Amino acid sequence: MLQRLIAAVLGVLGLAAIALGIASATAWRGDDTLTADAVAADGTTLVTTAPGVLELEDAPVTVRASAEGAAKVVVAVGRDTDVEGWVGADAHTVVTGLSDWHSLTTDDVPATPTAPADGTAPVEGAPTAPGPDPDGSDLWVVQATGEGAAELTWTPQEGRWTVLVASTGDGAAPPAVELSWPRTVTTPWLLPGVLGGAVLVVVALLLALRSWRTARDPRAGWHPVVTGATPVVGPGGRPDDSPTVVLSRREMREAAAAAAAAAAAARTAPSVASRLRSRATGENPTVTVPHAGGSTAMGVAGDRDPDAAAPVTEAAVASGAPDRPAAAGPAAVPVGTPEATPAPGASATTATSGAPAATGRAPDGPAVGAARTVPGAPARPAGPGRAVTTPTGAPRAPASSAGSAPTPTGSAAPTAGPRPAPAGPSSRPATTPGTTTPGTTTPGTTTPGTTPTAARPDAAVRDVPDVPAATPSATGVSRADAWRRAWGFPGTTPPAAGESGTGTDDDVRRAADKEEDR
Amino acid sequence: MRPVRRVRTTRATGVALALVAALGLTGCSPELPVPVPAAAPAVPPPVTTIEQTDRILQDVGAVLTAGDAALSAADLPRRLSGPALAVRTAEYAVASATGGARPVTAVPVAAQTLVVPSTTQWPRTQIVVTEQPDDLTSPRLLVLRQDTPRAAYTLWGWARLLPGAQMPPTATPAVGSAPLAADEPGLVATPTDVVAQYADVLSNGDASAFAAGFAAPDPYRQQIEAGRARYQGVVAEGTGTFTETYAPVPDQLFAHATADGGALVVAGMTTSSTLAVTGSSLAVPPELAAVSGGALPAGAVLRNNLAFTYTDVVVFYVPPAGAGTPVRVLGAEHFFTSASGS
Repeated sequence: MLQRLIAAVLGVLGLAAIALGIASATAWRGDDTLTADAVAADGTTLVTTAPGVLELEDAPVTVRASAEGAAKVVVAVGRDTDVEGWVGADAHTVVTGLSDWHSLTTDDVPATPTAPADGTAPVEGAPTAPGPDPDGSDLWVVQATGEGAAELTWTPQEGRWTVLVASTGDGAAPPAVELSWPRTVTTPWLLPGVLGGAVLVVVALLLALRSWRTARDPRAGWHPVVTGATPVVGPGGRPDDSPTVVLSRREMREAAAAAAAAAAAARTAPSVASRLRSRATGENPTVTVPHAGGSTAMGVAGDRDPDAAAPVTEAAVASGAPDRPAAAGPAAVPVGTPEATPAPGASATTATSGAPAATGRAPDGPAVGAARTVPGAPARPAGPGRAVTTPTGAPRAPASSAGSAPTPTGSAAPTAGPRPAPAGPSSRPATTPGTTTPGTTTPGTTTPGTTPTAARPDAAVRDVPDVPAATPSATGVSRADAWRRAWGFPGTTPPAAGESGTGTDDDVRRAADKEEDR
Repeated sequence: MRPVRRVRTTRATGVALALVAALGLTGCSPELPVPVPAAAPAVPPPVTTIEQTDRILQDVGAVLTAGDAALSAADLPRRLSGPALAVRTAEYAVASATGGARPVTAVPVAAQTLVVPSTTQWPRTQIVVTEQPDDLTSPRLLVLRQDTPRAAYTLWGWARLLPGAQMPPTATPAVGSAPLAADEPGLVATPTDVVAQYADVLSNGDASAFAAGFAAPDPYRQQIEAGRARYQGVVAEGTGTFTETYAPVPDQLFAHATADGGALVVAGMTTSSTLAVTGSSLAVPPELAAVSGGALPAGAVLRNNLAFTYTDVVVFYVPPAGAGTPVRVLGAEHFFTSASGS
């Protein structure tokens, strides 16, 4: 703010300086000619100048004289002594200099009464004789004569020269004298004013530019991020109201460790929801969709990898009883969705597959999955997306009790599919269950729509490897969203609950999908 | 205490601001120029420039030309005065009376040398040496004079440079020559004395006590003596006398300093000649009758005497004191300007 103020002040000052400088050389520039005038005192017909007056300014000086009623006006230049001698004792007016730029100062010299040689006193009030006429005197170097007015130009020479102006004739008025000189007008303020002003303006502009940049620089709004910081935007919606969770490296390590541990646990107790999901995607979305429990998925999986499917016993069980949490242990928690089960397609699939192994494949599955995930391949996210979507209605969120699986958030779940699940995140949720955004629902528990499905079962064994951590998908989704927002892409705003129709087209579509699924 | 100080500070600030503003404003407008006259010179400049002198000379020449053409002296006073006016008037009369048998003296006005005084006083006199006139007589030495500031320069007199005369060096007209007083010391003799002594020499010839002070032979003196001798010869034929006196004219003397410290002196003189006869008669020559102003009709015969007066202009070079050289006569004019008789 201060910077801007300074810039503004400097700019104004600079402009003012420029304006003043220019004005001093234009509007306020002195005249090229200095002209000043004066009028002789009443009753005198003679005007002289003091020595030096003619040289007041540059040469040549022009003397103009006029007198009303004068038969003749004479302007003559002579040596000061000659002029003085010629004027003698007569009354005259002496121009002594300038009183201002347009008028002359004068000094009136009355006539010196000369004692008449013959002793007769001068007659008082005698009519004054017509003014003496200097015309034609040999004393003058130059002279000009005119009727009523005269003009003379004199280029000063070395020495003391003065001018004599006389009006002659009966009733000649006191002559008015005007002297004009050419002047060398300098504009000493032009250059300093313009240059100084320009400098000020430039400085002001630089300052302004700098402050503008600072204000506009996107970096300016960034907070220094401690290494490893990752903002998480809650599924809830707008970034600002969802608290950003930042994990330190340590936390991340811990999360990774936790995830690893969970994975290890999962090995023994198969059934990783994620798996399931990925699996499903990999395969055939439609298939997955309906399935109740893992069986369906299983079927698919089975196609591919029968072996994998085979082992899973528990999974089957699970499938059989939707409500039952996956044997997989805490993590699985897949809560069978009532809806899911009914899906006819699912049954069919299952049938086909014949191998309800969903979670069963667990042994290697989760472990692998976990392992894989971390490094992360967001790999084929697309597939899963679809898969996820489908199941929305049903299952989902096997959410793992392991804590690792964080819980598909009601909202997140649906969205998850479409976006790639970043690898890293997978672990995250695991570590801090608490961290999960508010919007998230605890696995299975909450939202009706989100009931963890048997999906688990479908955790297609086969895909396991490629599948990015399915589990984290939910979180992954939110993270992806955060990334988008961070980079300025429109974020997907998952509806608070998967089913809430508030949101985007996506949501609508999703809802529609659900319906279909049903 | 504090409030007071604060007030003072405020006032001081105000004053300072006002001062700065005033300075800034005055700084923007240049100061009024003030006359700075050249210093009055210690030595006065020459009274006229060469151009002015030329202009005066041309005007004098014009007046003379007009007068010469009409043989009329009516317009001469505008530019002629003193001996010049008298002589010219006489010459016109003579020329008229003689039908041109005695032409007027040529007075060229083309200057060869100017001796311009440097002074601020009046009267002012300057000397002009002209070119040789068309009739190949010797150059003239003109004397221009201005009596008062409002008067015009007039041709006060002229003199013919004598054969062999050499002008002393003088200052250039741009510098000007100092005018000298009539009783100026520092010369072999004051100008006044020089003229008086010369008059004595003219009268008494070599017998004069001052004859040695003047360079001889002096053509003018020789001319005067020759004329006097002629008249005396005429008188000797009958019973009569011829006397001639020479006298300086008061106030008709001025001097200019020369470069060598001497003086150039111009003086007006008169030569009074009286021819007296007893028992015989004199036929008045027409020239003299012309200048008599009507007193003597042409062809008149005088029984007693004839008196006539010459107006002279004599120019001397007076060396500085101790120079050891005599006074030289540079030029002179001698013309009868009046006559009377009975």
